[in-house]
Amino acid sequence: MERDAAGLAFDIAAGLAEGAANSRLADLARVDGVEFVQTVALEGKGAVDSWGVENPEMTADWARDMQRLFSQVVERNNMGEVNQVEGFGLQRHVALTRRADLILCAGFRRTFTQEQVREAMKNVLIKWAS
Amino acid sequence: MGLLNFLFKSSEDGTAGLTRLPSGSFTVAADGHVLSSTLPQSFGPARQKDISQAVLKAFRGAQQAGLPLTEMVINYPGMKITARELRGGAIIFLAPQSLKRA
Repeated sequence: MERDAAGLAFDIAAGLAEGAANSRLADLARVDGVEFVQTVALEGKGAVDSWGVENPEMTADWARDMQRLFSQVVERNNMGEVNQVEGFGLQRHVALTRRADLILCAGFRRTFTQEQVREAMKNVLIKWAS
Repeated sequence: MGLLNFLFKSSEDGTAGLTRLPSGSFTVAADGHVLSSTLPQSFGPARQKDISQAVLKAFRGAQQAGLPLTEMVINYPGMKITARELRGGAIIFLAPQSLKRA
């Protein structure tokens, strides 16, 4: 009985923690033009948290690959660290940036211009950091 | 002056020396072969291949992840790489970033 109560308490705590993380990402997604947001650990597999992503696992793996690919280019060519990667497509645009051991990946409305994507990503980052 | 010479002395293979950041563009085929380039000789074929392979892998990975991209911008502190997808290949622009840019 005691174990059941402890298990229930653990489930509730885990659920609350997950809810808090999702609500934080939902907060980031309120920035105009944002279609999805995801945080990905630099090492490991899958996404840490995601909001509005159709296929979180694949997007997370791609984000991790991107960070690794361009970091390797940097190391070999002495170009400093990758600040931000932006991708523009016909369906949506994406932007990736790294803070410590986490990668933040955000998707943006396809009608946005490059400048609007940069501005929106800047706003997402400000919210993420606060 | 002696101190500066000591600080900025190039390594024997020349990789750690101060070099001018390249400006120009190059095109690459789907198989990773560099087709044409306007980059200076100081930024040799090996470095171009290094960047083009990363760019091509990134475009393909995005396609597989359900995020097909036609253009990519990679921002480094001192340089910006812009890559546009060209039927499996790519055209890649390298441009040094000015310090004024926010």
